[in-house]
Amino acid sequence: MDAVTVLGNFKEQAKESALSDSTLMLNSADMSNNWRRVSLTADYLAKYYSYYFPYKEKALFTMSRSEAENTLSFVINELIENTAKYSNTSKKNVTIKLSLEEKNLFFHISNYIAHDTAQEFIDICKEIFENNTEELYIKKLEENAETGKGGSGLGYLTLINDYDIGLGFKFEKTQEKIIKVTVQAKMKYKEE
Amino acid sequence: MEIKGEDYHVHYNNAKNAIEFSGTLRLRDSAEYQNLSEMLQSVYNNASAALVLDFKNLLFLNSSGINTISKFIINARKSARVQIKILGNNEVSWQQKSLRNLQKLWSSVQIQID
Repeated sequence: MDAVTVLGNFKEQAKESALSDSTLMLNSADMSNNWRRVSLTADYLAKYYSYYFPYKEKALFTMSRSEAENTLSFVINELIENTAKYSNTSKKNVTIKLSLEEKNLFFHISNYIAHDTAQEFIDICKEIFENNTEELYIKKLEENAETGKGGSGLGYLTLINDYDIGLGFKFEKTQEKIIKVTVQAKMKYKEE
Repeated sequence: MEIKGEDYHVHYNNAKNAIEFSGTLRLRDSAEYQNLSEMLQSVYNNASAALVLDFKNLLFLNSSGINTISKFIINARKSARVQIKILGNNEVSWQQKSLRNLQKLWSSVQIQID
C-alpha cells in the first residue's frame, strides 16, 4: 500500500469557506461496547444540523427541517457504524467532522484500522467506483441471500444510490504502521 | 409473535395478517438480526393470504436491517407461497428512498407509500 491512497471523489477543503464547522471526537470502543451510542450520536448531530434547514413551508430549494433531520441521521449513522465495527487497532480515536458550505454539507469521518483490513476496504471501494452502483447493489443482495456473503459495502451503496451522496475515501499510513481512514461524504444542501 | 428491544418493537398482528414495525431498528450486524429473520420467515411459511409488512411507524432502519428485509424478500420470491404487500410512510426518509428497491428483488411485491 502507498503512503496515501485516495479513492472516489475526495475533495480537499478550503477551511474558510465553511458556514459552520463542528468536530466531535469519540472512542470506537465506547460505541462498540454500547451500540446505542452510535445511534445517539447520529441523532444528536442530525438534529443539531437540521436547524440550518427551513420549515416545510419555506423549503423551496432545500430539504425541510424534519426531512433533513431524518435523512442526516440515517447518513451519519451508517458512517459511524463502520468506525465502531472496524476500528481494530489499539488506537480507538474516531473523529466526526461536519462542514456546511453554501451548497453542500460535508462529513469527514475518520478512524484507524489494521493494514489487512485497509486492503479489504480498498477492494470494496474499488468495486463500488468501477461498477454501476444500482446493479452492484442488487447483485450483492442476491449474493448475500445465497451465500451469506457479499454484504459488505451495502451501506455505502445505499448512500450513493438512494441519498445521492458523493463518497470519497482516503487511506493514510501512520507512524504506528496502521492506517488512518477518512471517509468524505458530500450531501446537497441547496439546489443550484 | 413479537420481538422487542429498548428502541423498537416488531409484532405480528394476526387479524391483519401484518408484521408491524415501530421505533428505531439499528442493530449491529446480520447475527443480531437473526431473530428478526427467523420471525419473518416463520410468519411467511405459515401465511395463507398476502402478508403485509407495515413499516409506517419505523422511523429508522439501518443498512444491515434493510439487508435483512431484502434477504427475506429474495427467499420469499423463491417459494412464492403468498404475495407480500409493503406499507410505508412518505415522511420517513429511509422508506421514501429505499423501500422501492424491494420491488427490484421481486417484481410482484406490492408497495404502498402514503
